[in-house]
Amino acid sequence: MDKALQALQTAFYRQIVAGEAEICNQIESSAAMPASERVSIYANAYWSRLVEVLATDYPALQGILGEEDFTELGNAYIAAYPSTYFSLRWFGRSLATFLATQQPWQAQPWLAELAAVEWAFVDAFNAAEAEIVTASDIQALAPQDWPGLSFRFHPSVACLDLHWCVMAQWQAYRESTPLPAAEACEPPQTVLFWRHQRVTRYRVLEVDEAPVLRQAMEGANFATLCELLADSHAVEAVALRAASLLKRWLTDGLVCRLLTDV
Amino acid sequence: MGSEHSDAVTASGLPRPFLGYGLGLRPDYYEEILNTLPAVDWFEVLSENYMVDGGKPLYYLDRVREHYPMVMHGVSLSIGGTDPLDRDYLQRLKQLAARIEPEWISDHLCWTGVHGYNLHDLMPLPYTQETVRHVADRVSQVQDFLGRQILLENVSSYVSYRHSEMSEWEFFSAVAEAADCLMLFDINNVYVSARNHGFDPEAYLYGVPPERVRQFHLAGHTDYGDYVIDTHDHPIIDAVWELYVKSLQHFGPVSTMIERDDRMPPFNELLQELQQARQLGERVLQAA
Repeated sequence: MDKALQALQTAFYRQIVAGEAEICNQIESSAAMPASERVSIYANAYWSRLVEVLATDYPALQGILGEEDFTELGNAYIAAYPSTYFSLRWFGRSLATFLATQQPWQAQPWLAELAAVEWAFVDAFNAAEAEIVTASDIQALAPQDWPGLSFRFHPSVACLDLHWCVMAQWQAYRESTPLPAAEACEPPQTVLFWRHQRVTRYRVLEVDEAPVLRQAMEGANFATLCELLADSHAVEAVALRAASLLKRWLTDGLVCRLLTDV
Repeated sequence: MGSEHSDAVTASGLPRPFLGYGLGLRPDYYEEILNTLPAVDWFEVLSENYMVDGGKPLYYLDRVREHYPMVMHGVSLSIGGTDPLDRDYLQRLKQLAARIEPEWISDHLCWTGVHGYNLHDLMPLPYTQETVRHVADRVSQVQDFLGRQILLENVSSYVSYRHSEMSEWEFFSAVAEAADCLMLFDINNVYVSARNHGFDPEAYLYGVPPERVRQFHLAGHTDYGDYVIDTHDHPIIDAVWELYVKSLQHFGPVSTMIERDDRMPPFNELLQELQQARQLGERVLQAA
């Protein structure tokens, strides 16, 4: 390995991320431009490029904070979480964590939740492909298969629990309508994110659906899901409700495989 | 200085493959390309954009590939870096190549990060014999892993190092010879760096071995007076067109593409710009 080259690259890196001037000693100045100005072209590009990446992944957050505050947030995030992966696809993945743990943003907890929502869309956009199961696939099942039936979900399917009504803010941003004030959600909402036919989608889950879907995503079988529904439904209504939820999941394109335990 | 038309052969003596005139495949134009199947000879795709598990990018990549030849162009190889080569990246690059079977794979003669941190920029190298050896060794590793020659592209730069021992074109040529790799000759980058460093762009052009040049890039840039930045957000300027004509006269037929990455115009404007590249190319090559 070339030690002198590594030292040069380290010095250049330190200039870009921390403003250390040592690299300028190795760089030619010209009449039109001193070395420090030349080096600053790279530094400026670094910070502005990464803020732009964040703005692409978090457009609603940028819209709500405004460009100046978003840039301040972006710069703080870049300093805290420098990019370590070749692809910019993953650069913004820790922004929700950063917002939830750093002042002044920590004091506005809905910002972290909005960031989590926008990152969920990014994940759904980029998730792997999988064939989905249709209603006719499930009609082919024998009656005795039903109690042990479990489901594999499309790789894009994910749920988020939200304590603030950020979906309303996100929607308002998308529709360019006035933003509603951040309000607490009581009870908390569970929002489902997925991709179907190449379009990323979301849906606020009904109160009884959220725990059932989460259990199903963890591999619980149909009998177990029905028991869970019995907590919130009369016994005679359970089967109907379970069938209606399953139908919805299939129509939404959430399920990519049916697993029977025989 | 030679302005004569050199034979279109490669370093191995085989005829240089000529794909014609291409554009970059960008998301803004996916639908229009599929709906209209425009008269573009080939597309260059940014490799990293398709190193994802699934979704729209790969869907459109596969659909467009059904109709057009493609080449892969990367920005993350960090061939001049001092961290070990990123095996995960190389594996994904190889997988993508298996998926779309590109005519060739290119990246940049630069470094992009150090100590595990990525600057996501094309950082310039010092032009020394030691760097030539360092880069050539890494190119050989990459070519062995991919099982094919790669193309390296000259980058635009805004700094030059005091301890450089040679010109950029001598460095570029020495790396290509030592590594036995091919060259992606970015004509706009030659212009940009010539302005920024005060060298003669034609000296660069006549200083690289024609038999190693496999592809041209053309692009626009932003001119700040004292310096020029390679922004790919404007039409190609006349001085770059003139350098393109001289490049064609010198190198012969070389697959040419136009890069546009920002301030995206209607697709038709890019087609017109590509038509200009095609007409100039045909005129020069017929006269040769």
